[in-house]
Amino acid sequence: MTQSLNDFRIKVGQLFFICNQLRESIGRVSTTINEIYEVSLRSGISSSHVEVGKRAFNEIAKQIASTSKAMEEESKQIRDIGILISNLSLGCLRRALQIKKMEEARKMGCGRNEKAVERAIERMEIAVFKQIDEIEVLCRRTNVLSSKIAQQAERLWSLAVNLRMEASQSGEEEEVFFSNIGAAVAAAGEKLKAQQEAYQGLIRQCREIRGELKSFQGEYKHAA
Amino acid sequence: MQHKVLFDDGETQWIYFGRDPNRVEQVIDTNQYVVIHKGKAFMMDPGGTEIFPAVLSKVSEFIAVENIEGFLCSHQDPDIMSSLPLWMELAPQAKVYLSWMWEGFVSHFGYEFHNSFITVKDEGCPVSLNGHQMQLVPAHFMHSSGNFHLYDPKAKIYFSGDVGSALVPDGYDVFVRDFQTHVRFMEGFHRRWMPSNEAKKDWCRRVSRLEIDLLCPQHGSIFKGKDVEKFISWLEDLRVGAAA
Repeated sequence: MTQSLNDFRIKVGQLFFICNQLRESIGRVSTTINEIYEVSLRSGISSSHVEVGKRAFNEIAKQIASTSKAMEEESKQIRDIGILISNLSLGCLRRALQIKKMEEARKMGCGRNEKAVERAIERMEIAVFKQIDEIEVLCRRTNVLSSKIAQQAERLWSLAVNLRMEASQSGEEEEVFFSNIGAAVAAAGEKLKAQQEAYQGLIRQCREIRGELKSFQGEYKHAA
Repeated sequence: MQHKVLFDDGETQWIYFGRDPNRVEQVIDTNQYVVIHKGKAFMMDPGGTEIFPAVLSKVSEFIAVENIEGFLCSHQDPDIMSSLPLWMELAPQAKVYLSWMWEGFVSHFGYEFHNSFITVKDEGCPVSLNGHQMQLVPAHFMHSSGNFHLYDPKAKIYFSGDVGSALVPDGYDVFVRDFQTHVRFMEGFHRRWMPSNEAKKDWCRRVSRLEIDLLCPQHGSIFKGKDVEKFISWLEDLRVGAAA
């Protein structure tokens, strides 16, 4: 059981590490989405000043603004979930360390408190696995949100292409301005794609560790 | 881990726990004290996480965790009470007495048991253990800015937290045997850890009015009988709050 407990603690430590990386990764995704949102706001404001005959600008800019607004909302949700995942994994780590200390005490002998210590370990173990399950549920939710964000990013990218095309057929001043905005949206979209891939990788790692941790569930009870 | 019964009149017991021979050397040795009255217990400075297994194992020889009614955290240091979340897992019924100043800080060790805190005002307060009356005595800036000691007028025992502490070598006696020899183990500690001469004088004045048979610090050895007076007057003359 000692070896097993050690392995358990190591795995929980890994989970904590990955979950924190996940939170940071989500933070980066969120920052990029905010960048896109700001660029799209700029394009929206600017396009409203474009002369009446060039309504296409206005229409594309509006779509960019509404898509990035929706993305920003998803990003807020995903960022909150990232914080929750990280906090839950910290809870698991704390509990795992506490289980270790309780287990050490149990081994030294706790006389009249033996049963109380065993019950405490069991309670703490249940709490750890409950938190691990909650992490899994949240990972699933981030997957759903992440797919939405990916779809929105695709849409933004094609809107950016349209904007650049439209700009190339306009006057010189508008061409430069809207080409730049289109390029900025496209570049941020590419960045977002790479960041999302990194974060999906972390989600996979997180789920793998969770799967490994589940194999320890109930082991203390059986060993005791 | 060693233990010594410091007082026992058949109704009330004071027990010391410390000098753990299996303690890792990186962890400073600490003294834990438990007072038991008619089957209910109160623990002073339950100690750090690292020594929790040894303390729990030893304490279990005397009390069942469900009978622990309270803990005193004399101040906020990790060696004083980083084990508190573990104790509270075993004794959720217990109350935790601590200075109002440290409420938010101690919650960093685990906020789940925050509802069990009894935040003590600067002037201190009485503590009743199953009808046994004790008193939390203010000892602010001795060394912590929010610090309490515990006085038991029946047993005439004064738990003094870090005051009277000494960094003694392994195997050193639990009781001070020769005051002059002992000074060398506590002088540096008090000069450096106690920040205020004014607070020190105030504490000496307050405590010298109490009838004390045993003065029990959180590190080092326990002062007995005449050595209690000797310690208070030694401390009164000591210039503290100096880094070198």
